[in-house]
Amino acid sequence: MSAVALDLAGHGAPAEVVAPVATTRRRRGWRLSRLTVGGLAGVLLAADMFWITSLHGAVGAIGRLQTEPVERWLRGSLMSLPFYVLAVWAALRLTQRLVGRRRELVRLSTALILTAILTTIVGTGHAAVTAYVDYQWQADHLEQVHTDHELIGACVGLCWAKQETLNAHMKGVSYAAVLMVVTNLILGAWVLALRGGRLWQRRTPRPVTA
Amino acid sequence: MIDVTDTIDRDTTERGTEPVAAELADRARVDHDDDLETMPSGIVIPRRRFLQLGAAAAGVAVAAGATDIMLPDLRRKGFASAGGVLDQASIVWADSIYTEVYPTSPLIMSPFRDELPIPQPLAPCTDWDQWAVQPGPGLDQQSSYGGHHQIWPSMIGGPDPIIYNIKLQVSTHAFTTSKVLPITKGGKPAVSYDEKKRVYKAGTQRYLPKSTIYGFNGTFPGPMINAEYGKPVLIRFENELHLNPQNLDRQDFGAPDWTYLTHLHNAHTAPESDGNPFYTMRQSGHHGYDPETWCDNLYLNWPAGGDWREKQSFFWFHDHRMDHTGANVYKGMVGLYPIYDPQPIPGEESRGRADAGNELEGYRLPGVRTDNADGSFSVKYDVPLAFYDCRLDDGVTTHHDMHDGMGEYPAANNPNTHPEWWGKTFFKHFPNKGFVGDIFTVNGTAFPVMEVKRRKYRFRFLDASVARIYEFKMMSSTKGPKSAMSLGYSGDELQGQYRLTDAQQCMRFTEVAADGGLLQFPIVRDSFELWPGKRREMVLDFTQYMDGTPTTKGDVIYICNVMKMTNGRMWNTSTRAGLDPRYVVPVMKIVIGDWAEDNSEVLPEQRPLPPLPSDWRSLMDNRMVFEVHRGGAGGELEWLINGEAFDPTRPVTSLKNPAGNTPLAQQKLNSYNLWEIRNGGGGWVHPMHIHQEEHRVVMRDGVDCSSNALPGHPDDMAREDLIALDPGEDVIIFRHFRDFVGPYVAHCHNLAHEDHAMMFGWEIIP
Repeated sequence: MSAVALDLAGHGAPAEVVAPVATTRRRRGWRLSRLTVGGLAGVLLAADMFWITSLHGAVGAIGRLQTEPVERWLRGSLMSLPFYVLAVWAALRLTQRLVGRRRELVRLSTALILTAILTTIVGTGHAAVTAYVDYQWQADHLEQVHTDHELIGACVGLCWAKQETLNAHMKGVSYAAVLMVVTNLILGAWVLALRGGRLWQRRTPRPVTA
Repeated sequence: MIDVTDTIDRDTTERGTEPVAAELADRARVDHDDDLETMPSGIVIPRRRFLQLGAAAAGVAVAAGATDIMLPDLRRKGFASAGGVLDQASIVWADSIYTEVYPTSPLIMSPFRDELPIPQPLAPCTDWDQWAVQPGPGLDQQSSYGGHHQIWPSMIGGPDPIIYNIKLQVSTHAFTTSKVLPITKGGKPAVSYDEKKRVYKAGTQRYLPKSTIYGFNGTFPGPMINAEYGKPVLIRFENELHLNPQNLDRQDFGAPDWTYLTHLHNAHTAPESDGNPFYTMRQSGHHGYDPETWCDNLYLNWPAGGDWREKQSFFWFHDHRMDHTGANVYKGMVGLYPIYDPQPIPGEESRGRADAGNELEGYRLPGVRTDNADGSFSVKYDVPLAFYDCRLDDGVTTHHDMHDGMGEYPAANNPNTHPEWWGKTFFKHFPNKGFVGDIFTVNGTAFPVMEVKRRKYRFRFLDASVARIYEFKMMSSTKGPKSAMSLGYSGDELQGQYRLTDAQQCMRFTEVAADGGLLQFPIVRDSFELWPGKRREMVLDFTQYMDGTPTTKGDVIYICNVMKMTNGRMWNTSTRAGLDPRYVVPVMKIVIGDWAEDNSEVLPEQRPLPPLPSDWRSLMDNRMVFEVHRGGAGGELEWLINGEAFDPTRPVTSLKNPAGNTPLAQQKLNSYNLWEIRNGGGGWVHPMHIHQEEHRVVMRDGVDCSSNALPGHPDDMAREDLIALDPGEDVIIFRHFRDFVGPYVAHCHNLAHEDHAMMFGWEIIP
């Protein structure tokens, strides 16, 4: 206890209370567990990319589907990895700020919900961007094949076909968002359990020369 | 690295002396390593460890359970791989996003009372010399759009063609004379309607209204032409679909401009008579032949390359109008064309005519021929069976597909329900699920019955369905058919309407011919699959059962479908994939009659296969490669080949072959080549059909099957024009490109796929 007091006092103490030269002061504290961040980001990314890749197989443009699904899944995952890590980091950081001093169950629940929300936002963003790109491809394709259809109404023929394409994408993205948040909650809880509920870990003491 | 220390220190400095206790409390909250779980046995496990072990165990259990439950099904569908799991998920997505809704047809209350209609051969036309434009080899004598026949029979030493006249007409058709009970998807009595939208309460049995058809000569199935090799046939098709003398409601399917395009599947025919949209669009810019136009299709009835071993035995003609083939075929444009061989077997002339419909000569296949006074001929005990499944409108299902927004059927005002069409044929374009019906008909009649003599018969099976694959077995039953509804089935299990609950196989088929004609060696089979567009000819001996017991007069046998296929993607259960013993659907009833003279014989060897050239393997590197893909567009699933939708203006480009080339799909006249067809991805099967000549499968999934067929694919030792591609399968075929130049097509014969772009153009060049 006295060591703790000394540590605390040393940090905020007036200037005259300074540890002697060459005295080693141990900095003790907590940092976000890399394993937890990595585990959450990796698992949730893999799951979300599964939904997005399989969604592409149903509504995606043919140009996207020329590659094997596993290759598409890997590519999408690699592209989105930094964003998922950032999202998980942000979620845990926010948890720290909001409920860092609360009971463990509250901290874990908050961490889980925030992680699920933020990663779902990233995943939905990915789905929306790819849907937009696919829609452009598909609209070009429809323009080529619908040149011989006469427009006879408010939105028929090519206009209607494009609208239906857009509707399909919007349906897909919205369903994917729901699936992702549910999956992220379940898998996030599982990863946290695998980590033993550990969000942070004690910083390894290292010598700090005053 | 994130340093938590800052936060705590800031807090502590703000709180003065309290921080020590607060900090201790924090540590107690953040660090639970000291929390322990004490097991009843006294073993102490740290709580974190307990949580970790529990999570790990749960993960393993879920993974093992999911694998155990899902893997057999995934394997059956060709999904047993990482990519396959993604493909399966894509299917679930497609089902949830694309609305493809089927009605449930009313239950036919008295099955197996209507006699099987056996088409009578069409008589040749006798007044063709009075036509304004007469058939002939000259310019502009091929059709209303001009054109000429590139080979007239006289050019190959043949006689002038026998001329027939067939008109495309709007008419009606009744699938049954029985009363029906309208039922819901849940198998319960439902309300029904009439043309004036009056409501009939649930439980009311009614007669079906007649369905509107577009038929060859106004009938369904259309005419049957008994043709012969060496006797060319010319059929003048005339479009009278603009006429509607009975003022019938045309409903919301069928080519909206009433055009047609007739293809004789799979005769060796010049492109101008082939009825393919690549030729028609290029030559005339038309999707098909408009109302009030005519087209002369010349069928030389001449084997490819003049090689007698290339002779075939059973064609059928059907519509091939671009984008609406499925709708037009479903609406009735089906006709039959058995082709006989009146020429002697080369080298065995003493045996008489090879396959002329006379069982006393040649290959001795069942048949007793009668030459009719009108120029046609009939063959007794030789019966075509065209299988076709349909759905009837329930008046409450919304009509919805991508064509609703194309302005094609404005009067229907879709998406909409149509109570006025209750009991009439229902059809929509469903490229995701494919269109399958829940009533199985034979020669246009639901649940027909046929009395047979106690002798052998030649049954010519044809699958004229849009997407359904059948597997047929000959079964007997003591209890007889029970309605699926009365057995407690509902939803998709109602398809087929009736079941045999105590069915036993009682006879075997002897397969004597496939798509490409007579097999070299007949195959005895317990059952066989029949894919859309395919033909299989079976000899059945009605004198005895498979155990040798003789039949007796009055015995009843059923031709049953044992393949459950609840949507047009692929089967749910079958012999190859694992049967559902409860799914035995009687499709046709056969009643054993009196004895009849039988001079037929199933010979151990029939017409030989043309040999493969010895250098065929040298073609592997530079083969053409075509792969099926799917994508989304227009609010539906689109099917493409080599990543392209069907372009009627140019041939497709091959994917890169092992030699590194990507040639155009062009073949030199009288050449031969290997073509590789890949089913890219699992979950869908594709019956891939290639026009103009038959082919031989030489490799399947990398295995050489040129000398011996693989298990499950005995017909690979035959010539065919339709490749049955299982999920994820890859097939290499060998074929020639002989006698004619010009554009042709290849396409999936799941007509819902064909109409949604799964077709490519190819051509034979000089």
